[in-house]
Amino acid sequence: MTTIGVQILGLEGKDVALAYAFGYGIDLVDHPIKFPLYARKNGRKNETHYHWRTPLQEPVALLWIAPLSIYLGTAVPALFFISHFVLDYMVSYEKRPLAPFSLYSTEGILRRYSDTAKEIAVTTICLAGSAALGYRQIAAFVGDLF
Amino acid sequence: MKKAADRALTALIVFSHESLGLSPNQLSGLGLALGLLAAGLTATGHIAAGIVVLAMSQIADGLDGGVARRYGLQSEQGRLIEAVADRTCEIAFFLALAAAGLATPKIALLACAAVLLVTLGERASGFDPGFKRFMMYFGYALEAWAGVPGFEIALNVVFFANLAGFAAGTIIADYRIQRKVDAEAIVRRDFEIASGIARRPDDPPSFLSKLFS
Repeated sequence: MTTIGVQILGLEGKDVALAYAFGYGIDLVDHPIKFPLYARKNGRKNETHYHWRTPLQEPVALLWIAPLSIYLGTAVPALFFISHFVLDYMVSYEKRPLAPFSLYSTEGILRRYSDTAKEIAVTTICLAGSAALGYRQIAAFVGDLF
Repeated sequence: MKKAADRALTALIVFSHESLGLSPNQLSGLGLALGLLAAGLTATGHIAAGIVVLAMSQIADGLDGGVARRYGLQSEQGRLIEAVADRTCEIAFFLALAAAGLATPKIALLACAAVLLVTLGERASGFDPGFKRFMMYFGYALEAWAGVPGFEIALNVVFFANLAGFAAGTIIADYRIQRKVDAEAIVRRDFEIASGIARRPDDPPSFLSKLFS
């Protein structure tokens, strides 16, 4: 999703870095934060629906990402962060959109469809879109190979 | 930190309450009035005077909490009044810097937003990184002695420190909530095991847990 967003918007330079940081990198920072709590509760056992998320990747984070976007003079952080959490909210694990100010929790959107179906659909659309946008580069790459 | 400040201000705390008869809320009001005066002076170009009055406002601000703690006058209402007075002074001073042309309106407004956010977060996490009015003295020093746009730099620091403080505060508060939720789940699980109640089987091992077992 981030890659296709970067392609569609024709981003370059620091905007690409911001797009990947807020569209994808935020996951890499977020989940390890709760690892000590998970390990203390479960040890090596698997708990499929453990609440791994912190407010860093909940909509409440827009409260600090929006001012940061204004400071940087680009909508890229807010835009790609929104794309990140919209994708997250399509998967049915527990989310606390207003944490820590409210413990209201939700399983997200489009709940009548299975997570697998939604993941396949989004991945297909993104790959097809990415290929369509970059077909010239792909064709040139394949042409170079042969 | 607060107790250290109280020790440093003990004589003033005793004098303001016992000799002048000022209550914590009256001291908060005095701090607010001085803070607004500092902002007014700064906005009209009297920067040095504004900084001196800002320092007096911060002393009054330190006294209100000190009096409340020393004489057992702490209250939720007092805390709220102090927070409102502090934020009003800070916002007024930041906007005054923009009005005086010492900082851009954009960074002044963003710094205001960041201090408001950190106040919101502090109620949930108890975490406040500081870096608010205190930074203005550094800004003045840089402006006066180094000839650089010190207040602009100071407001940038205020913005980033408080924005990061807000983000960190939400994580701290959420971590505490999760620790509590987990502790309750562990107690429930131990109780179920001890009383022989049939419980939900563990989830099958994940790929990662198999990898590291």
